[in-house]
Amino acid sequence: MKIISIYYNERLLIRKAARRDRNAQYKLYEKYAPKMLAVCRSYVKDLQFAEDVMQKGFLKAFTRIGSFLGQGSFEAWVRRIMIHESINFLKKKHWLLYDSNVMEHEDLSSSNIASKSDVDFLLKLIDQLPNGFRLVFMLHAIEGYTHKEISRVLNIPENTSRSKLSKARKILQEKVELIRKKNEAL
Amino acid sequence: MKRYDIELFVKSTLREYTLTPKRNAWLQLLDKLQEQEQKRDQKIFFRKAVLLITVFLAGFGTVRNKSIQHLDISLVENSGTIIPTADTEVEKGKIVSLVTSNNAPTYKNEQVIVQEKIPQRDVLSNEVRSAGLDEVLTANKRAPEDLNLSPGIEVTDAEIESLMREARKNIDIKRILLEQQEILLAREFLVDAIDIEEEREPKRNNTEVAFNSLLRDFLKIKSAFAN
Repeated sequence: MKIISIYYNERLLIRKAARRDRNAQYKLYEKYAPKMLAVCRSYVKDLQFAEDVMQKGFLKAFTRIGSFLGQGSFEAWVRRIMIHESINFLKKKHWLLYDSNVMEHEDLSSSNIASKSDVDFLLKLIDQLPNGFRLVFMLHAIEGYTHKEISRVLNIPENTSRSKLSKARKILQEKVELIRKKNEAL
Repeated sequence: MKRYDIELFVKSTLREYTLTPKRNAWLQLLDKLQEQEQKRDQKIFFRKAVLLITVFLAGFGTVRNKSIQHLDISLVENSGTIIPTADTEVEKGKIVSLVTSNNAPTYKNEQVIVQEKIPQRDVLSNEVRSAGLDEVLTANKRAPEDLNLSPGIEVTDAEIESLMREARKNIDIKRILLEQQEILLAREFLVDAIDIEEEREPKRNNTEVAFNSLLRDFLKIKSAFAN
């Protein structure tokens, strides 16, 4: 009963937001902004840029809210917009370089990891991946995109997407294993 | 950690991951939203206005062309049999000259007169047939001021023909001039409107550019067709 009520309220909010009701728009923003900022941050490394991307995403979502047909959840719809905005941002900034070299970043020492939460640790690991690898991994592992969809969104061949995913997995697994071993040694 | 575990681990960890946006983020978004909505409204208004003007011009052009066609037909049909100038009215089988303008008949007068006489055209031609050419010529002589003819000289067929040709030429020239003027005015108006819109929005999307180019093409085609 409660779920139905929440669902009904959200439908009502969406309808009001489509009629440019600022209160409804704010309520939707308030509800989804933290999650969407996290989504943008996982694609765009810099938090400042991630906020800009999120704003653009919400702007697009509110101006096109009329095209949301109500099939599927509103959150998934907004999330998809955010992902597209993030990828567009990376494309515009030419950060979407498909270099195969794994970049050498700061060393993730055990003390460093121990002081951070799992999420921060993971994000740091993912951030260390080259952009092309990171995007393919995120789109496939987190968002559940198929290789066909990834190839369309990123403009790369399907086989490239497959190979990048497997390489990204391998790199992450190696790093996690390394850190685990270091932690065990301590 | 197994191969599939890393994805599962990342997915489950990041699922509930949230970040708090800046405090003024909503206000910034609101500003942008209002700006965007205003632009959108302006675009819609502009498109509606352009559409309305286009429809109006197209409709006006059609009506005017139709009336001009009537004029041409009447002149062709009556060539050599009827007087080309002055108001005439048929009354019990006779042609009587009623109104005469000043010395030189103007294009405007001619156009208005012929258009007004369109319903009477059939009656007039019947009357002309029954009355005969002499009577028509007599009627013609009653309005010598309009034709710049001396009252004593008889009007020949050749003269009528030449006058008709001259009148037709004048009408054609005036018509072309009017059409050109109208098209130029409409074009100027549209170009001004587009310029204003471009100033407001330097970065226009492809759809708008295509729409404007379509409009310009439409005007070009219309002017070419009129020529």
